[in-house]
Amino acid sequence: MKQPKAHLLQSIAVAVILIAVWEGACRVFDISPIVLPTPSSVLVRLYALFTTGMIWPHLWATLIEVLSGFVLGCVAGLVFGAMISLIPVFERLVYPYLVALQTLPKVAIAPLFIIWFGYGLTSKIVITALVCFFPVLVSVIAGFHSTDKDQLDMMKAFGATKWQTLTRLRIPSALVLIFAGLEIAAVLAVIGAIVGEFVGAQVGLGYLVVTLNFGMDVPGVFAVLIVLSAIGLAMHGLMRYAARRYIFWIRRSEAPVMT
Amino acid sequence: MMASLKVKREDSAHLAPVSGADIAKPAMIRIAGLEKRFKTRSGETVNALTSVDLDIRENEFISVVGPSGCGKTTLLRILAGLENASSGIVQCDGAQISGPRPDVGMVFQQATLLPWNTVLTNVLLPAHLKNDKSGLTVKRAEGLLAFMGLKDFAQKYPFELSGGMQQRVSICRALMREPRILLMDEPFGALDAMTRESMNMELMRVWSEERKTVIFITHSIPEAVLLGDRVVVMSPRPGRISEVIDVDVGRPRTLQTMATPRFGEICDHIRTIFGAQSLTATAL
Amino acid sequence: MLSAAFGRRLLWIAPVILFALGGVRSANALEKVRILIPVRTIDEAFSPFVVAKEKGYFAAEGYDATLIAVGGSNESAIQVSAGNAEIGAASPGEALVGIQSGRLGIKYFYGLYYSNIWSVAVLPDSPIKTLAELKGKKLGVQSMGSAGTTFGRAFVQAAGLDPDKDIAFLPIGVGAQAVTSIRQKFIDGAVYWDAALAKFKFSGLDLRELPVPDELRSLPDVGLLARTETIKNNPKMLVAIGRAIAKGYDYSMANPEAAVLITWKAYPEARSKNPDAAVALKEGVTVNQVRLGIWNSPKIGEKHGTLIDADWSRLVQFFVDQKVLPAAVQVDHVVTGQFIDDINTYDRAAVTADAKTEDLSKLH
Repeated sequence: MKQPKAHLLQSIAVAVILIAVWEGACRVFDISPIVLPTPSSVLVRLYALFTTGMIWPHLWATLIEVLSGFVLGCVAGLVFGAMISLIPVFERLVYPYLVALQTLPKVAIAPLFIIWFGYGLTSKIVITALVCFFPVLVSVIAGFHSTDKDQLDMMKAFGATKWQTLTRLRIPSALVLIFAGLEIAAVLAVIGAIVGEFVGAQVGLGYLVVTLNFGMDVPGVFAVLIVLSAIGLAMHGLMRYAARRYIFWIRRSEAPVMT
Repeated sequence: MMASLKVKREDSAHLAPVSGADIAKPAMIRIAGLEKRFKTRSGETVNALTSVDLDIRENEFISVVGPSGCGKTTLLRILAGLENASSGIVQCDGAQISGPRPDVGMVFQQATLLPWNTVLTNVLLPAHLKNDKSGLTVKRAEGLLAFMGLKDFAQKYPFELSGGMQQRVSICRALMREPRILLMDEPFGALDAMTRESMNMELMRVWSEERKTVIFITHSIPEAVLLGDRVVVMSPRPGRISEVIDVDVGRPRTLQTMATPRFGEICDHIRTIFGAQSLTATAL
Repeated sequence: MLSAAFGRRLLWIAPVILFALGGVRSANALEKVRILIPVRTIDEAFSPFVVAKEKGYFAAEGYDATLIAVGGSNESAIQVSAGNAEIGAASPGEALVGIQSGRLGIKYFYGLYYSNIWSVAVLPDSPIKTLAELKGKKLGVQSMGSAGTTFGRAFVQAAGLDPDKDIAFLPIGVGAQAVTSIRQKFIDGAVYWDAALAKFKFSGLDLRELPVPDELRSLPDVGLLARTETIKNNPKMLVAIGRAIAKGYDYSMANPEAAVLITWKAYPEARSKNPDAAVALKEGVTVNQVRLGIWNSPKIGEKHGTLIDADWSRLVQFFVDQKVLPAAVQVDHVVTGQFIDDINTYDRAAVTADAKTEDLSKLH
């Protein structure tokens, strides 16, 4: 298995070089730590955040927001997407409003959500769910539209009922695109939670960023950003793994790309 | 040039004519005055099929050949019950065909296997749709796969098989419910020439062992003549039957049969029909 | 079927997580009270509140108080009026507007800040020495909607300038981006509150405050407000909370180090980032005492939280002059002093003594 190992080493090498350049530039040009802290100071803060235990309540809160919002948004997207795809009346009545809802910038309506749902985790979960909802909805609809016509004919020719066609063909066939939507939603979930926390929160990684920034602790801000990235990567990786397991019949290179 | 319809006995020793009993029976499938029209997006009416008359006997192998737009696929779909005729008679055993029937098996140009199921599960699909999970049925499926030379592939997935193998699975699936009629829409069109030839031989072997009525659509004139008892030549605009030709070449047929003079004559004759079509087309 | 199994797994996770959210710690038999604090992060400037909670002063009165940081005074006033919290600490801007228009059914019952925390500050080497010299210049503010903008406008107006024509206000946020904007001279001066300026100083940005007329400096600022219904129907609660906070203030004044450490223990993210613990504590105490310095005034003597009618009248008039209020409103619609005596009924000496004997080593 030489190939993947070589790639991994290359990636690590690139990262190391970039960090070294960053550290060097900060020292040589005497850049203010408030503008761009050195990687070493960031790593020190990152270590401290974990060893002092300060990060845990915030990490836990953001994780709950991200996961709950993701699950909620995806389930809603799956349900609405399925109903829109399978019930024409529903599509006509509901879809235009969903699109209109989506075009509202979440950053602008987040304050409203804080007022309606409070300063606790609930408001952030709702915002996250909203952010995850649309990509999943669209991917479900696209997934159901992408059913191969020949396969539909084949099912019909063999006397399949509508329900059989749905469960044995349309749903598995839609999974490819649905997983693409879930992948996107997984990454957006982190953004949704943080946007909510920026607007109003008592706890969480976004709240921590705001607070540390107020205290001029920019290395700390960077450290929290690293943690946020890790969460995003983990979510994405989880979805990729799930996709590989559940839609095993698609080879990577053939996977469709959703914009 | 009109083809001579006299039977030329070349390989008399291997001749296996359509049995006299079959010829005597009334036609299993009767098509009379079949018309199919549909409206395009711009509101025009397209005549996909006009005045199609055809009688098909039991256990006959009918090849259908024609250029794009001649309605051959539409004809097959109507026979499969996937579409309804606009007017005219389409009957099987005296009853009008109005929907998919259990005694019909269909094979498409793409194998249309479900990629998330194993080969065996794919073959079993027609049975599963009828909630038939019996061991006997599974045995039949395995038997069919063995018959097509795919015994070791039962637990593999379609993406692990070549195009030709997938199409063979698709044929197994079509044969699952022991259909009396097999409809095949350019089943070997997506395969390369060599695979295609071996699939032709394979199909003839299967048909000789499990006799059934086959309607086989193809673009390839040699393939149509090689496989069919009769060749239905269709032409487009509007879709109609130009001519039905008896293939008076003995069975069993092999690839060597394709080199015989009689075979060549029939193919030339069909080509002329097409030539005449394109001449009239350009003349218009 | 594939999808069904996956879907089921998803649906299983959701209720588990939601339950984890919903089922939270419930206090045993203590009445719940939500107190809103008008900042993004609760820090050492609000030690009386935190001390009252951590030292059990709220609990001793029979209440389980939750401190909620709501980002701004306007939020605080609106949420209390909407019933989403029982008590709010708020600067009087939006609160007065709401009371005057009748849209907000709230009233102040306890005074916290006896002078204005806002200042206009410039870089130490800036040639600007007085407010009047800001003519034609740019002033940085946290955001266009912040109270600082209102006061900034008032300050320059008092110096004879027209805030609309003579000054350009630029929102520059807080924290690192504000410091950078100031350092890079995107703006000529900035309007910030005491704690923010202190934090700038700890980062090496020592701004010079421009003198502000005393009648503006001494306007009352943040106080505790509640719905008029609460004042009528649950006075016991307001007295209890007020008393606990008063005790928290006494404790903080008696032992600022302890108060700061208690606050940082509850809110570690507010801790000073200075790596030297002793210096960090000094910074914290500075911020704390600068703020708590205005929690009192020679005018009120021993009665913490007294609301001085004359000063609040002046405040109302100030807002009318600033065109923040369309018309004046009677002072007795804005403040009520009915609870002050009861709030101040407790053993102050005991609290102070307790504070002075606090073992600091236990608080790190």
